[in-house]
This record gives sequence, structure tokens and C-alpha cells, in this order.
Amino acid sequence: MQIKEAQIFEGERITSSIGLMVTIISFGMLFATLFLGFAVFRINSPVWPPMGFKRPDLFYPVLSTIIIGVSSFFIEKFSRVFKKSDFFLSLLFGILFLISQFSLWKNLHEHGIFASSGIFGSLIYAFTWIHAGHMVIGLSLLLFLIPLIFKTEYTNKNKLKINNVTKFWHFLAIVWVLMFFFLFIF
Amino acid sequence: MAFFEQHIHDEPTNFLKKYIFSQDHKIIGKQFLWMGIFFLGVGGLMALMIRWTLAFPGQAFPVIGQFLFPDTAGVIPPDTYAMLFTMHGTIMIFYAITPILIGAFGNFLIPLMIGARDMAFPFMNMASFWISFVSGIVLLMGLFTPLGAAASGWTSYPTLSTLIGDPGQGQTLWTVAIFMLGVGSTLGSINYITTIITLRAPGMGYYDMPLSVWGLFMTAVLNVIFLPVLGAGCLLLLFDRLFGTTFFLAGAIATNGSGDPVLFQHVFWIFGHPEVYILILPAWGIVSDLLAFFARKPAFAAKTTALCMICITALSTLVYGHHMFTTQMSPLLTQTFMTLTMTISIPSAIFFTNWLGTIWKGSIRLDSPMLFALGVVFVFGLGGLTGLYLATVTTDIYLHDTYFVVGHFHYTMAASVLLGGFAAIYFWMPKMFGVKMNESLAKWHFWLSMIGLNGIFMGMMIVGYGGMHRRLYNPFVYDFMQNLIPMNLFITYSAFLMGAAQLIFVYNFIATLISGEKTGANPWNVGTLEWTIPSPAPHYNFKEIPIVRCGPHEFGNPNLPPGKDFQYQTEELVKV
Repeated sequence: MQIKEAQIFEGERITSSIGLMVTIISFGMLFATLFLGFAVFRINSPVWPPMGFKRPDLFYPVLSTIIIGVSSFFIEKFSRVFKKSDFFLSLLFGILFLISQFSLWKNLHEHGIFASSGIFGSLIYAFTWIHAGHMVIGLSLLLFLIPLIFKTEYTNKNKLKINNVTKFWHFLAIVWVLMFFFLFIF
Repeated sequence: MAFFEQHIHDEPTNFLKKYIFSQDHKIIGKQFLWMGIFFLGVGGLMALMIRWTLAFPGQAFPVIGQFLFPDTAGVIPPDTYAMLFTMHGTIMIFYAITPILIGAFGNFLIPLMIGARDMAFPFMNMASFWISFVSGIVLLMGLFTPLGAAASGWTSYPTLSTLIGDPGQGQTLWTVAIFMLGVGSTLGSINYITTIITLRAPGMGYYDMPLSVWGLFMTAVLNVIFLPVLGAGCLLLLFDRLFGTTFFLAGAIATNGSGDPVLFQHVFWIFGHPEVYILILPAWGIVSDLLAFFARKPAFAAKTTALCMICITALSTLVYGHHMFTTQMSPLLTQTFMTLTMTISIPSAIFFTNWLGTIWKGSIRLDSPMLFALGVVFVFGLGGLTGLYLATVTTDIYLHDTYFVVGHFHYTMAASVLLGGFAAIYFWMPKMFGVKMNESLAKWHFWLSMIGLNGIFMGMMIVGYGGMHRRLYNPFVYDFMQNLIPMNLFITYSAFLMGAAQLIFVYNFIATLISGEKTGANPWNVGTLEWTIPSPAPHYNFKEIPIVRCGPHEFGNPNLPPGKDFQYQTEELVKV
């Protein structure tokens, strides 16, 4: 019986990791397409940012990057040692990331960069909107984990779920770092 | 080889869980089938209206025209014509073919053919159907908005599809619907891939899978990689329409920036070319199997056929530029894309030869599924050959956007996929519903459809070669088009014949469901795993997970005992 259960778990582990891998490839293609669009506009423009725009203030993007990095760090720690406080810190920083994004958009508005003011604004807003949309999905996955968190002992299956959500959360962080580099620095 | 055995869950007893929000792959497959057949009817009706306008411009559409277009006394107005061809394309591609071939047969066949109890993620499977369903409603809602549905063609090129070209809500709803359908299909495909990798019955290697599963597998791979590309394009188009971004607006239209309309074409075709293979691969797989089943011979070089599918899948991602030869692409690129496109002929030709090899010297049984499968061989051959003229830059420049293109892609995507879908319905009807369709009605359906569709699409190629452009409301205002009026009449009559033939199918389908001839577990004498269980397939398929010992097409083995010409995949290959 023990052996059979172990087998079933092994199967679930492989199944979910293949499923997750395929999902992340799929999400990755979505963002890859966005970066393709960015590349087309960037290459065709002799100066960047185009049309006399100034580079946006780096304060909020840097803040967002730090926050999402911290969030990723805590969830990674949680997925290794399963300390509840780490999980909630990660969740908190995830929400803080969204708040920092709102501040970023407000800041851009104050500097006269709107979604409708040409391709530079379009790129920044559309990319951050889409990424923020995915962050909402990621956050709801974290919320979905909360009932598991309060269990006294984690079964292998619970650990598996936590691990998979962790991977997705890291994926979103990596996408943000790429966006940060291309949209605000490059 | 299965990584683990799925539990047998109890059959749900309440109606809602059993038939509506079911997580059983067989029920979901049937739901997709109903949805697909419904949209096939809607899209077909739109096709008839388009054909009517081209044959009898300015005349009222018979019978229902009065109700649909009361303002013009039944005549289809020009703007409605644009909506009709847009919605016809969109509905047929995304809401008829995709649900029938990929949704219905993908869901129904994959677990049964690989010996699994259900998909790897049943909940995701259900979500996939309901997201697609809602997206279908969103698309149809466009028809009832004040300015009408989307009218910029199924490709929705900007700037036609931006707020300037199409200010109505219809185009916005179109974009939302396609994005949602993309999400739904991607969920389904993640499921297919995971299921095929992890849940094959013990003993079943990749090459022991029936070729139908191979086709669906490759389709799922393409779906997962390329649907998000269209999704991104749709999102950006949506932002352009709703929030004033300027990705696809250029020149005087963009008040404050410089977007790039051609970028959408790139994004669209990066998805769009794999999409045509997404649609055709399941049909290819099904036909490869059916030819072997009804020629009572092992599929000729089945392994090569599978490898060709992989090869075509890989190549299909590299050739999208051939849709855009006329967008001032650099000649270096056009030649590259031309060469790559031509390269696809090599695996396709091997594939085609394998089909012919399968039926060569077989003891062919011309049951209705086989007739449809042979029909696919014929129409796909024609469609594939005419593709060469469109792949070549020099000829494509003249044929671009003419009815030649329309004829070509209808032969490959519409005719072959439709016939493949019908073959599958006739063949798996016993396993899905436990009843067999009426054979003589099925044969009438086949021959009338075959005559009708060849009349339509061959006619289209001729008028296209004669210079008739697609998407024109009334091309006969041009003098040089006058000579093509009789040909257009012929195409329209063929279209109505084809439409009438589908009524036979609908009647046959419904009559069979109500009072069809009950069948046994294996009416076609075929050895793949789904035929080892009773018809209709019971809840949770296999009581005991089968162990696979031989390939899917073991027919006509001379060592078999007399009176038997096939063996089940669960049996050891008979040797001397």
C-alpha cells in the first residue's frame, strides 16, 4: 500500500511539473511576443525614447524590482523550510508590488506620459498592465494556498502545490526584471 | 507507459454535475461536438449569404432574407456583407473546426486511445470548454450591437480593425472573444500534452499510439506555443481600441506617435500559419488511421508518418512570411520564406505517399468513414498542390488576395478538415453514443458534399485565376469581371447543393441518436484500445488499465487464425 501511494504521488509530481512547464512556455510566448513588438519599435526608431520623450523616473521601477525580488526570495524560503511567516511576507510584498505599480502609473501621468501619447507610453503601459494582470493571477494562486498553510503538517501533495505556485511566482518575477531592463534602462 | 494509475471516481448522480459541469472527458467532448455543429450551421448559413450576394447582387436573399435584413427588403447590404465574410471565417475556424476536431475528438479520443481513465487535469478540461463557450457567446453578441459585428476580415488587419476602420463594439467583442478562445484552447492543449506524456497505458510507446493521437498531440504543441502570440496581438489591439495606445496606428491616423500596422500582420501570421496546421493535423492523423482500418492493412510506414508530422510541425513555425509577400518585405526575406515553405512539400509528400501506400493492394471496405477519408486524400492533394503557386513569390504577387487563395485555403482547411471531421463522426459514433449512423444516407451525404465542395472551390480557383478579388461586395461593376458571372452562378449553385447535403447529415445524426441501430463493442473490427471496451464507452473507460502489446494497425497478419484479420492492441503480436 505504501509503495502504491508513493507511486501515485510520483505520478502526480511528474504530471503537475509537465503541466506547469507547458503552461509557463505558453505564458512565456505571450511575453515573448510583447518583447518582439518592443524590438520592432526600438530598432525602427533612431533615438530612444522616441518623439522627444524623457526617460521616466527610475524610482518606482527600481522599487518594484526590489519588492518583487524580496517577495520571490521569501516564497523560495517558504518552499524550503515551510515557515508560515515567510509565506505571508511573500504575499504582502506581492500586494506591495501591485501598489508600487499603481504609484508608477501615477508618477508617469505626472510626467506627462500617457497610454495615448505615442508608442513610448503605449509600450510602458501595455507591458506593465499585462504583467500586473498576471500578478493578479499569481496573487490569487497564493490566496488559494492559504487553507493549506494553516495545516499543522504538510503532506507531500501540499508541498507539491506550494512548489508549483512558487515556480510560477518566480516566472512572474523574471518577466518583471526583463521588463524593467528593457522598458526603463535599455 | 503510465506514470501512475488514475482512481476510479463514482459517477456523478445529479444532472448538473453529470451533463453540464461535467469533468468527464467524454461528456466534454460531446459538449464541444454540439457547440461545433451549431456554429458550423451558423457559419454555413453565412457562407450561403455571401455566395448569394456574389451570384445575384441586389436580389433579396430567399426565405429568411426578409427577416434578417428588413431595412433593405431582404437584400444583403455592403456593410453587412463585410460582417458576413468576417464572421464566416472567424466562426468556421475558431468555433466550428477547432471545437469539432480538437475539442470534441481531442477530448474524446486521447484518453480512450492511450488507455487512460480521464485527462490529467479534468477540472482544467471543463474550464476549457466553458471558456470557449462563453467566448462564442461574446462573439455572437457582436451581431446585435448597433454598428454590427466585426467587419475587417478574419485576419482583422489594422487599420481596418482599429477604431478608425471599425468604430463599432463588434470588433472589440471579436477581439475579446478570440482572446478568450485562445485561453480556453491553451488550457485544453496543456491538458492534452500532459495526458499524452504521462498517462499512456503500460507498454504503449510513442510509436504505438494511433496516428490520430499523434496528430492531436502535434496540434496541442502548436496551440500551446502559438495561441499566446495571437493572444498578445489581441491584447494590444484591444488596448488600441479601448485605451488609446498606438501600437497599430500609423501616419495621419495616429495623432501622436508612430505605431506599425504591419506589426499586427507579423504577430497574426506567426500564429496564423501554425494555426492552419493546428486545424489540419488532427484530420491528417484521423485519416491516416482510418485508411489503415478500412484497407485492412497496417498503416504504411506509420513511424515515418509520425515523424513527418513532427517535421511539418517544426517547419510550420518558420514559414509565416509567405502570407505577407506583398507588404514590401525585403526580397531576401521573401526568398527565404519561399524556400522554407517549399521545404514543407517534402514531409507532406512523404506523408501523402504513405497514405497511398496504405491503401495500395488493401482489401478496401468502402464504408462511409472510409469514403470521407478518401475524400480527404483527394481534396488535400488538390489543396496542397495549389499551395505551391502561392508559396512562390513570383506567382503569389499576382494571385495574392484573389479567389485563388480562397479556393486554396478552403480546399486545405475547410474541405479536408470538414471531411475529416465527418469521417471521425461517422466512425466514432458507435463509441460516443452506442449507435451507428445510417449508411446509405451517409453515402448520399458524402457524394453530394463531394460534388458540391469541388464545384465551389475549383470554381473559386478558376475565377481567382481570372482576376476576381476576394472580399468585394459586387465585383461585377468592373467590366473585365463580366465574363465570370456564369462561373460565379455555378459556384453558388454548388454551394447550395453542399448546404442541402448537410441537411441529410443533420437528419441522419438526429434520427440516429433517437432511434439508431445499436452496435456492439467493436462494429468496425478495429484493434485500438477504445474498441476493447463496451459501446458507448462507460464512465471511467477502463475497469482495468490495459497493457499494450502491439501497434494500433495490426491487420491482415497471415499468422492470425482463420476468420480473423485483426488483433487488439492488448494482444501479443501473433507470430508463426
